[in-house]
Amino acid sequence: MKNKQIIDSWNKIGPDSAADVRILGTLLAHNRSSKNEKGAVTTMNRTFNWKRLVPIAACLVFIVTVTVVIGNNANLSQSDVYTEALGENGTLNFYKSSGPVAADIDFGVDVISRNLTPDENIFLFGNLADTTSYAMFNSDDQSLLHVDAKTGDITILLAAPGIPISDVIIDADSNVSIINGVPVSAGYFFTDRNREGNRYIIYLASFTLDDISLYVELGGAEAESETMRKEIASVIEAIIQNGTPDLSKVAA
Amino acid sequence: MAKSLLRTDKEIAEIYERHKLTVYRVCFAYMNNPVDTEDAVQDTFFQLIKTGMAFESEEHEKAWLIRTASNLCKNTLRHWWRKRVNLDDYENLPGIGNVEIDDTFSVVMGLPDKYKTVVYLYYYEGYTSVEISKILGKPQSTIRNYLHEARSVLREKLGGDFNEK
Repeated sequence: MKNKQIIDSWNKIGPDSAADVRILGTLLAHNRSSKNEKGAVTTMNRTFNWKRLVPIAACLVFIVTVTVVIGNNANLSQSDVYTEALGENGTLNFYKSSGPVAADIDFGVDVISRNLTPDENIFLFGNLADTTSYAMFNSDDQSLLHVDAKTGDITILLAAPGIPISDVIIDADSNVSIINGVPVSAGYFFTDRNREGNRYIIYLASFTLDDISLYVELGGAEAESETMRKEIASVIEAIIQNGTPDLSKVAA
Repeated sequence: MAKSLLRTDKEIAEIYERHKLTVYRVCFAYMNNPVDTEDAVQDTFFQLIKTGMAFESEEHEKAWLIRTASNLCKNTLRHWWRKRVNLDDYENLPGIGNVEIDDTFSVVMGLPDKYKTVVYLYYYEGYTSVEISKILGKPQSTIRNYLHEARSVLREKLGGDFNEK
């Protein structure tokens, strides 16, 4: 045990009594149903009937069919595309995405890190309001590797050439929009509904400025979808208008 | 202690009581809000019920739950973006009476996910970096780097309030 303040802070975190009762009740109900399922499996083994496999087979056919249809569907239906007009700079289309999967973000070198200054933020991302960022540098040559920035609720990731941009991979649609001459791949997906029945929409976009990779993301309540789309589109537009930053000017 | 498949309700309740705070806090470090944390805690104990793991000791049981909770949270799509959601958004929600967010906790929760869990296990649970590496299945050097980076941020943001010893 070391830092008392951290310990005191964590002491304030825990389920309240209602949540406690709710979680335990759910666990016990699950435990009982789990036992019943195990009992049912035993029974099935004793009196095995091929007809019981029919629903499973039907489900498999359905899954395979859906996968093939989605996999081959290069042209998404109009309802799957959200469009945001950016005046003379073009039109940004957000295509429905299957969501992210985990990826490795090993830089392959020892790193040091620090917060960037406001001037450095403006240099990298343009004059976005209230931008804060955390950057990682190569500890040997002090070069900038990766930046994780926030402007409002929007996350911006920047990676130097050859550096992985994120710890997730988005299975994005191959369609791109051209914004001020830069191809932008933009998408969105919905989360599962949580215990309260709410789900969230996450907008994301990736593009490169020369060999510098950029990724922009904004998530929030489904009801705020349109507002968020405008917000993220305007940030993408601002970053692109800012042009390709010279990363050598931001060193550790 | 070797309790495995088909535990009784009493045994499940005892395991939950023993480790609920640890599991809740590990999940909270990832999920950042009580609603998703509750889901993740349930999923963690569901795994215990489902796999019927037999444990050598209560410490083994705890380590397994920490690792399972950590992996479940990491694999949850929602965590991937909710880690960036502002904690303040949840302060006024009903039913979160036992989640009180002070300045220190806000700084801790502002750390990257991989650091938060390590900070919790090191500073709160009192595990060594070697033990944390075993629990989380990561190299010791990685855990030491995480702690080093986390300390730098904590020192910078908490200033005099952060004392290593």
